[in-house]
Amino acid sequence: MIHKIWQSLIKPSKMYAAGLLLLIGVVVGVLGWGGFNWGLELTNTEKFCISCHEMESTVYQELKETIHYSNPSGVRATCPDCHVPRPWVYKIIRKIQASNELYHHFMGTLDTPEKFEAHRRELAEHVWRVMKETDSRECRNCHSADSMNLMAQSQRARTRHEQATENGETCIDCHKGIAHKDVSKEIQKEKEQAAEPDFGLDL
Amino acid sequence: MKKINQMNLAQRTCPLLGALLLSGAAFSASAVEWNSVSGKTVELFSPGQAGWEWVLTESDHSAAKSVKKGTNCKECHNGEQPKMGKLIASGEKIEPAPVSGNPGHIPVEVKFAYDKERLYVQLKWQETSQNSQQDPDYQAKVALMMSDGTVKATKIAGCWSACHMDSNGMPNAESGQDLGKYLFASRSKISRSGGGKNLKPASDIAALLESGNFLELWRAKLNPAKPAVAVDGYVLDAIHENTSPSISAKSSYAKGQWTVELSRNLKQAGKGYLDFVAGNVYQLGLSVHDSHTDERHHHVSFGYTFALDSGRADFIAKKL
Repeated sequence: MIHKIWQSLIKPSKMYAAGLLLLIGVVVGVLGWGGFNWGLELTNTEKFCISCHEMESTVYQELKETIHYSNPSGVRATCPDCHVPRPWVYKIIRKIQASNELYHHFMGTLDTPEKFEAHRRELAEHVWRVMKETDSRECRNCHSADSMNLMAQSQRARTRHEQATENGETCIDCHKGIAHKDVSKEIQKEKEQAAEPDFGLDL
Repeated sequence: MKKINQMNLAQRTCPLLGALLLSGAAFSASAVEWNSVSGKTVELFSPGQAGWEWVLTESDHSAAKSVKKGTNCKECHNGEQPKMGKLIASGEKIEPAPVSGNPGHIPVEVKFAYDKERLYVQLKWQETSQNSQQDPDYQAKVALMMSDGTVKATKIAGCWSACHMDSNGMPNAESGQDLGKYLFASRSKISRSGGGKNLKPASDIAALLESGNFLELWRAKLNPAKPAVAVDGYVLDAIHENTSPSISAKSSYAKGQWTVELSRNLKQAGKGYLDFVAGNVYQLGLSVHDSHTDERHHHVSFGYTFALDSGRADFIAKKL
């Protein structure tokens, strides 16, 4: 059976015009590619992300308390806005990596609040590391330094943003914990306690 | 008592002179016509237990890196003093022992003036509703600390760098100690809890003093209807108070408002005195202990600058 199908595929058609076959191929290709992307984009929705209770009962509830969920302008950031790259190649790489998340979902690695808390720092540090490496690419999906009206910001925000630009810093350097429970301070504290302070004696 | 219209000139004048003399006992006539000097209002606020090490630790104070690079506190915090002060005074943040009735901030009007001989500073503020008996001897106290910029940290935070996490009343203070203000430069090693015990040799401290690495200290201790008690000195390895002050202090108190004038000669012989010269910019931090408060329960300012006559500074001392 397979041999017959293979034979029919490798020989030129006697019955159908090449143009017809080409047209069918184009239609199948469009439907296939479109279908693939449609399916991919279904996994790029908040609804899909929070269909896993590990996400819905933890980080999603935390997000709902933040400015990225509700704010004066009514612009909301959902899970994929921050956690899935928009450029196609990076998106596909991320989706392939996400098979690891499917594995851990089925293995129940984070399926209780206690397990989630035990892994929270590891998960957070992973996300921060990737954001740092990509110069906060996902933040820049919506936020652009060029569009930022510094004069409309508070003095403190204006000063810090100007300093960040001068120091070559990226969004995630300061804005850890902007959307979920912030564990960066406790991590910072542990690092500080383990090391000598870098106070200059001339201060 | 005779009716006023039956009195002769002397009889009419004496009570008036008497009233003038009495008011003079509290505030003898100033050499400065302060009404002709413009000033600025500085917001002083409760600092809680936020010592210098706290300010320089990122997990406590997220802008620690900026501070270490020399950013003045006001660049982020200007205008935030009342809000910060209220948060701290309420006990919600870095204040384990709030004073009841503390509003968290005190606006103080500050004026500077100088003549050929002396520099004058006037401070005016309305007493708060704090309920404290920490210092039963004095109803209020003021302090100024100044540097010519040699102490680098004064450009960042005024006198804040003299306040440490192991000083009296602070989280890392050791029981039985009496450790007040000091500068990092006087210590050989600093940890996150301070540098209290790691004092440099006396010869190093002497060299630091000689090179201008100190904060000049002016203090006035106040009670209504009593002369202000002037104290001066310097802060380096500790607070050094002179047995006999070179500054003068005058004060008055009326309807809850304090008016204090501090002054001294522009140049003063002795250790721990700055030379006040037109053309230079000086760094300043000031504090008020209001309503019988003591030690760290003062309201403090960020770092400001002043200059004589002209210059790029927050305060310009008017030439008289």
